Amino acid sequence: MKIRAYPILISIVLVTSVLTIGLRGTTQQTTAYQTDSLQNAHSIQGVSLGKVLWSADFNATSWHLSAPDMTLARLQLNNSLELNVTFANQPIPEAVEVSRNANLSLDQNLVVFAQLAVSVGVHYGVRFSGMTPGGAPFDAWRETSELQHRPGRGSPENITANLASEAYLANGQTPVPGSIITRIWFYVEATPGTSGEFSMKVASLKSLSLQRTASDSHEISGTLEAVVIDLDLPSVSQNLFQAYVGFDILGTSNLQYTPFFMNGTSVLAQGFTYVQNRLTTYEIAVLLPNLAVGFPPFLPEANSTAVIIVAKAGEISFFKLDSLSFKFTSTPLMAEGVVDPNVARLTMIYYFLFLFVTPVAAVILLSRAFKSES
Amino acid sequence: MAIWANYQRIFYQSGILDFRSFPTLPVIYYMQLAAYSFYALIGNLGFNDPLLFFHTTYVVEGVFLKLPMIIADVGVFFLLARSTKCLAAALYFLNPFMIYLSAAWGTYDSVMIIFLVAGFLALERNNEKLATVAFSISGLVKLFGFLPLVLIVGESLMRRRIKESFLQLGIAGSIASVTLAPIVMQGGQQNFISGFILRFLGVSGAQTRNYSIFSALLGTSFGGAPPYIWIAVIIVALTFLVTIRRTSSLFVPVLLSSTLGAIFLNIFSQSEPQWLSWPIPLALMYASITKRVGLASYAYAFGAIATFLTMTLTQGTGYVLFGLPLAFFLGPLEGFAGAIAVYAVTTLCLLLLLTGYVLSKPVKFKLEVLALIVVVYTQAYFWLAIVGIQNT
Repeated sequence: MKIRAYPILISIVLVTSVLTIGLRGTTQQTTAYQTDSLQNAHSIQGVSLGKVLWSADFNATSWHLSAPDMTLARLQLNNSLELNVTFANQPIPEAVEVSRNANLSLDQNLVVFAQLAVSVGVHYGVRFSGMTPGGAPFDAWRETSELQHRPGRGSPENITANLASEAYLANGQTPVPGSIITRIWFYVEATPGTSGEFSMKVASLKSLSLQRTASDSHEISGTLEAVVIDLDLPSVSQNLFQAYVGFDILGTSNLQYTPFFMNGTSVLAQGFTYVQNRLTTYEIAVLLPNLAVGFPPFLPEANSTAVIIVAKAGEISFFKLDSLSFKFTSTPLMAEGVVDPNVARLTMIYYFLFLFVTPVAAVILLSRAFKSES
Repeated sequence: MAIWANYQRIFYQSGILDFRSFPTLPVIYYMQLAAYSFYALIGNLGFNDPLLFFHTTYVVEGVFLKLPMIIADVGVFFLLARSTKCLAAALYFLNPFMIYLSAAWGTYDSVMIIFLVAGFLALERNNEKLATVAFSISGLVKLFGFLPLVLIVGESLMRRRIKESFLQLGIAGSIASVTLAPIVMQGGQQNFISGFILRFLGVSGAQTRNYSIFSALLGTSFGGAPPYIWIAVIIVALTFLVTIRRTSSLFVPVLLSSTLGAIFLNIFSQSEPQWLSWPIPLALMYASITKRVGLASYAYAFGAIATFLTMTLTQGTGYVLFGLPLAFFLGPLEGFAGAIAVYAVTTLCLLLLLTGYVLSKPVKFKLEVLALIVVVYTQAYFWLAIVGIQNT
């Protein structure tokens, strides 16, 4: 009997079509949830640098130099800070630091801005420490920060640090109200075996306020360091799977930005780093929990849920939110977990048999079974 | 798999058909809607699906999500076997890489491949219209499927068969319109262009690391495809122009150019690990018509080695087996710093050897080739994983 393919194919298409249409939205099990949240965006705020609140003077009485015995270091202060260091070839790392007192309130959401140039061949960094109103000292720097162990480039660089954010990341808790940063350090360090003369020149050191400008629509313009989309999301029992943010964006030619999805100070998801597209102002950014390794350069409000678009380089001049949706799942991707070693071993053996041994053996046997008589 | 599952669950649980943020071309979405309907049916009848280890999909749910890919693999086998390419059929169907992609990992390259193979078999029988239809569907599953279609239309234009070229473009345009209409109807065209199309032109805003040799060794991020993708385009165009002059048949020039296209896109483009499956059926078909048993054997070995490299250096055994991306069960063979660079160098070697087998005179497959790849792998492991020269 000849099998007719087309009637079978048409029957399959019909059956699956009926099932697909008929069963749409009928399954009771709730393992996924999706929400279109554009209406949950209750305000959009632009974050920009405000006025200069403090500017460091470069006079000899303010700064303190500290260097190891074997290292020759000379500090010159004349409208700028110039640190010249001669490292001898040593089997251990060496560092020279200059520091000064400060009085910068963490309540003011300050950004410290430094313009400096460091020789190629050494590394450098900037550190902060402070005091709570109760007199307890705290560090506002951490080893893994981008502000630490930066390679000298030999050319002027601008570095910024949000003090409240640095204090939060260093201590894992929001700073106690009334806390102040009391000391600022710059250091130059050399790896073992480094020798020669190196320099660090700090041309400017100042602190600026961060100001927020709210918009009553879904778009905002200005010279913005970040855009904060405050959300009022309903509570969901499932885990975040993906967030999609569609927007139009314009900025300086060197604009690079990263989106974050924050709940208070917790990063729930992060997107890739984006550059301004040459062909369209529109971008759809996907934010994933497993990409969440960074942190916005300022401390978000503790009781807020927000999507924050942060300019990593350049500035945002225009932003318009077009779409926002969140997908949730009951079966999130787990990075790590415990599997019984015996089960793991047996599964691995089965896997290799299934994937390699069986098909390769079948191919060899088939080729022998159907070998040409000639 | 988590993405497939999420979109299907949302459709069958909440009734939301979401084309606006679906991350790729929608054909696989349609196919999975059909396959998943049976799972939704048994779910409604009270079937309770267990969750195994830390997987993001339930056990039976995973099978239904992979069903279109597994059926496509079976389909490729029957298509090749029916056209007397039995060796190619067996070497494709029993290729560890195809099994790994479709049945273990759950990528949908085999759905593109079945239409690609159908198109080439139609072209072999000089049925250009059917080939155009097949290549159009293939391209709407994964953009690579459009490559032979572009060559066919290009040939029609070169030979000034304007009417024919318009017919081919009309067929492709009609199928594309029907397929993509739901995206436009939901207002998702901006997302589709920004999030998908621009990625393949290398002008996406998202700066992502990929698996190409350039990204792996230079540590560079690109806006989708690296700018070197145009080298692959030029190689395909030149190959086609040179070979089409020597023959009146379209089949061999299009097949050869597409095979080289599959190889060089794996070198000069994003080089996603699953893309290594593209040259396998094409090389097997080319081996079949040019009677190159050596090439067929190498294509099989290529797949087996690609499976090992992808499994250990890009995915990790913990991900496919237990749903844990950061769990590694093969000791020093996976989860080490520089793994992507070792992968990129070894696959580059595999792809160059495949180019040699395709372009040189027919040569026998020898086990020494495997030894050569082991040497490249161990050298790459030493310099890129242990010494870490790319980091200095």
